[in-house]
Amino acid sequence: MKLFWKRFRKHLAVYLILIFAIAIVWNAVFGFLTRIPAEEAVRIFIASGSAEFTGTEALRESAPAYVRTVEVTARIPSTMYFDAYLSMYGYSRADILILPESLASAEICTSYFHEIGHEWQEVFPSLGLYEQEGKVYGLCVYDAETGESLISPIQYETGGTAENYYLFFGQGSLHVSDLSDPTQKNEMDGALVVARRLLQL
Amino acid sequence: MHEVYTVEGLDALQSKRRKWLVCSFLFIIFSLAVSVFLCFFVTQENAQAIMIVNILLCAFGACASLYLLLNVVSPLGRRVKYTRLLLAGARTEITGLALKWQEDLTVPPGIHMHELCFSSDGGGQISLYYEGDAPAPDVVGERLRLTVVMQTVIGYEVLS
Repeated sequence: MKLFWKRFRKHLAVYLILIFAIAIVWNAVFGFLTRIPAEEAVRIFIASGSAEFTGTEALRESAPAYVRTVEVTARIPSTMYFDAYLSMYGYSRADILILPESLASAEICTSYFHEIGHEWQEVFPSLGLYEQEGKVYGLCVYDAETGESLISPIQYETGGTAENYYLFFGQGSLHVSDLSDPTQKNEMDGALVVARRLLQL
Repeated sequence: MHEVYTVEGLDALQSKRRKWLVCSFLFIIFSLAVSVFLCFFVTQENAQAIMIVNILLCAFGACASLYLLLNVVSPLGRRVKYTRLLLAGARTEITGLALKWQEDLTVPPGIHMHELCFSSDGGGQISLYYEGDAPAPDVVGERLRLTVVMQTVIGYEVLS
């Protein structure tokens, strides 16, 4: 036994590296095995003054049966790697985005956000609309002038600067049914249902 | 003549090394097989538990395999290589008197080297190596005829 430990200690670093590598590999494998496909998850990206969001459970409860989970990623714009997070989890993956006005522009709207049709503009409660080139892309959820907000768990002020916040729907979202075109109506309306609940939190 | 290295001995060593090699791989193969089997039963609820079990299982299997490779298979491989080298080398015969065994030499694991102080009939005192797992033979004070390859005794005969 003494010889065993002596030999074991001699290559201890190699054993530790091996165990570490095994843990990483299995973690990745299980991440892949248990991942929820985009068709069954509604993903929300929030850029605000806090990386915490307390309303996730309420959103999960309100989601339609086909949606297995609602994932919320909240990031603070002034932190490091925010742009990477916004690009990776926001523009390319999220079904619903809540962003300050400064992070939206005509180019971003046409590239990443879904147009909101007239029918839906009246269905969702809002404090105003975000328009670009005559098309509505966002619903105002926080008015910086009046301080009025529709989503209370979000901390809107980031570093003393106050600006309007808007809710956008990701252009690549699979859960927006007929958001811009009533002829495209389908059963995948998870993002719309969750957004309605979100606007009442 | 007592031969320290024989072709049969080399074959036995190679066979032993092969068995341990297979045995060492069995650990990792078995743990991987069980882990993969468990993956078929993964659900969102038990994923964490199965992942931990798999990590522990594979860590044990991999460490056991690595331990055997480093401490059993590799030294045996070194010994096989060394034996093959000595069996293939040019042999010379020396006659003389065994004076004493020096302290064992520090060599890589798998090779056990003893140093023999030998007084050859032809010319003076020389140092020779004797390699083997067992303790060095008690030949001090005896006249010997040695078969030597690269300063290593591969066979000896007690003359007196």
